[in-house]
Order: sequence, then structure tokens, then C-alpha cells
Amino acid sequence: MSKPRVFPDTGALVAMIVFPHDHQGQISLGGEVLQLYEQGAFDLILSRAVVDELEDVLDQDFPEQRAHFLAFLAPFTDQLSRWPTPEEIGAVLPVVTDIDDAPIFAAALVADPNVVLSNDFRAFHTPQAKAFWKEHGIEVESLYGLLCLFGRRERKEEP
Amino acid sequence: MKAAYNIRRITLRVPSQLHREFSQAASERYLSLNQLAVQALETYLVQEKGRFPLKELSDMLAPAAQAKGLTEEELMRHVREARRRIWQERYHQAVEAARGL
Repeated sequence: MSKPRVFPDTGALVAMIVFPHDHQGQISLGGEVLQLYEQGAFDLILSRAVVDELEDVLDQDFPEQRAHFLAFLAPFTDQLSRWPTPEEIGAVLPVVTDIDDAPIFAAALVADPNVVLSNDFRAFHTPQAKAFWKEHGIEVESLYGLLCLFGRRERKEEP
Repeated sequence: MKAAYNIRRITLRVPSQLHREFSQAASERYLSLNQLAVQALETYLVQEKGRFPLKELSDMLAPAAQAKGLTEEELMRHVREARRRIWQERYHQAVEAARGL
């Protein structure tokens, strides 16, 4: 069976690479997901739309590391999934809670993953959004949920 | 910082043209030849594994975030702000035009 293809939202990616440990030095959920990736449990699909946001955040918060980031990523640019077209973004507008999220929703469809990974419950895990992902054969998981998929955590009961 | 005994030396013999181009590349990046060579070797090994270099990025960004005292909440807010900015600057008009508005 092939590995699941996971599309991380920018926030999930930041949680994985910037905050792999909590302030007490314990491994965080993002850190555990990063470990899973390093162990080859899943394939990651990075979108150019997500990288744009990450670059914007780096410009603001990590300007000293920006050049290194670009150097690290440069050999992989041909593996990034493409930007969504304006038409593709327009098509997801009825689904999003916040219009700003439309490019990332559309980028996820373009990337055609098995799983969309996001801890943004207000945007990505609403009933409407969940129905949208399901309609396209995509599961949406939080960092915790992804760990459950791989047997690292147990699902909590729905209230 | 790595202890000196963890450093090993590699001596390379390279064609003069490659040496010139590599020196130029290092100069453009404000790096020493050694620093660029180490980066190139790391990149090669990461590419060989066929995965995005997230661990390497994390090793660079996590300590930087800690040194700056950035919290996850702050950075998530900055992601939202970046998303809003990019929508306004890059997508908004094009999407409106595509929808005939």
C-alpha cells in the first residue's frame, strides 16, 4: 500500500518545524508529526501557496534565516504543487468561512492529497469544510488526528 | 557549536572552472567556500533521501524562535496576517475578475 499523501496547511507546517518542542522541552504534537515524516510514514505535498505564506512569515519573524530557508528549498521547487488558478480559487469561495483561506483550500484540491493537515479548526474543520473535503475524497486531520491515524494516539470521543 | 573533535576534513581536487564558479557562488551568498561546501553536501544527502528538508529547517528555525521568545500563538497569528496580505495583494482582484465581478 502506498504512503498517504499529506498536505499541510501553513500553520501545521509552522507547528512542525518551528515548534517541535513545547516551552518545557517536551516533544510537541507538531514535533511528533515531524518525526513521523522523518521516519517515512507519509509523503508530504507542499504547495507553492503554502510556501508563499511561510516565506512571508520568515520575512517578518526570521529575516536572518530567510536565505538559508530558500537555499534548503531550492533543490525541491520542482516538487512543489502549483498555485491554484483564480477560477479554482473562485470555485471554493462558497465553502470557506474566511475568504483569505480560499487559495489554500484550492491549493489543497490542486495537490490532490489523501489528507489535509490543519490545526485551524475554525477554517478547516467546520461541518461545511469537512463535507467539502469528503466530497473530494480527502480526509482532514489535526496534528493530533494524524497521530491517531498512525496509531500514536487514541481518538477522543466526540462530545 | 560543534566540538572540534566532531569535525572531519575532506580535501577535494576540483577542475579550475568549477572552483571559480563555486567561489563566485559562495561570494554571492556571503559564505566561505567551506560553509557553502557543507551546505551543498547536506542538500545532496537530503535530496538523496527524496524528502523535503523539514528536520534541517526545524534545526534552524526552532532555536531562532526560542531565542526571539516567539510563541506558537504569535506565529499562528502572523500566518493569518500573511494569508490576509497575500489574498489582498495577489489573489483578490484576479479572483473577482475570473468571477466576472
